[in-house]
Amino acid sequence: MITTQQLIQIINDVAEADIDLASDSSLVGGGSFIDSMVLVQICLALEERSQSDGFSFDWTSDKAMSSLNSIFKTIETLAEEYNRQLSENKK
Amino acid sequence: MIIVTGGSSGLGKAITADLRERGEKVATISRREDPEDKDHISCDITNYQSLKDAYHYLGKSEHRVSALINCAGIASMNLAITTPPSATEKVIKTNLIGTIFVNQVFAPLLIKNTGGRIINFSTIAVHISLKGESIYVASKAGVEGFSRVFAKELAPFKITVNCIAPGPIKTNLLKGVSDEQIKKIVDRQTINQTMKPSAITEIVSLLLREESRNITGEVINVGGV
Repeated sequence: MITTQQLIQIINDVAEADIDLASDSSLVGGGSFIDSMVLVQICLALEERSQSDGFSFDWTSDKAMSSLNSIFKTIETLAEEYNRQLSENKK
Repeated sequence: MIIVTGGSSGLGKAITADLRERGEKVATISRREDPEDKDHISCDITNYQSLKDAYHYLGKSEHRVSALINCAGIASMNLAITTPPSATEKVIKTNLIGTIFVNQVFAPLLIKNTGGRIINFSTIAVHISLKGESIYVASKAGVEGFSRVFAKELAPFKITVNCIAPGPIKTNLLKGVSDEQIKKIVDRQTINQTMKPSAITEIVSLLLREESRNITGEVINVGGV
């Protein structure tokens, strides 16, 4: 399982910055604080983490493209999607 | 490690052999089984999950992936009006969607390598608007457009994306094409010669070099147009 705080730490590590982030901070769109390059690196970092959690994080689901329900909408939605895939894998 | 799709036949096979001769570690990907090649992965490039499985397999390798060369493709020579819908779908699915899938799925391996090369294959027929190849040309023009934009998306990761667009090369892909038809195409190239596979392997080798790091988003028409 990943918490939003852990995800924020990952984002700051990837971005090599100390950005003031909250769970409702946007990952995509006009209000986003990161560029597309960092977003890709976050996906790869989550994929790497997922290997040690015993699954492979998939960021290419149809849900990722949804403007309303995108997994990249906020830090919280991305953490939720990670945890959803983790629990799916445990079933 | 270099990944070559369509590496079991035609140009892909020639490129694989040339790279291995140069001492490169090459993993080949194609639908068919190849028990003689220990670095072969049997995989349908139009099947996203199949590619994902190959991605995870390669991700566990001790070798980092430095280049991806997409040779997998099928030819179709027919007037658009007389092309059956199943043939149209097959050409677009293999040549365009398959190439996009391969780029999408394997690019993260190059990002993890902190740089690399992607080489996709188009055809000179795109630029000379070859009559009787409209569906094939549509699929390859799509590959060129995709490659130009993907080059921009991957530039921050020090990955270049280019297309090689050969004219007629003597491989299985040209089965059923008459010498007269081949001559008509060759006559429209700047260099009026039927190229050998070595003409392509030399360009691949050139693009893989460190000195080619600033060449990206380009289409190289072999023999000129």
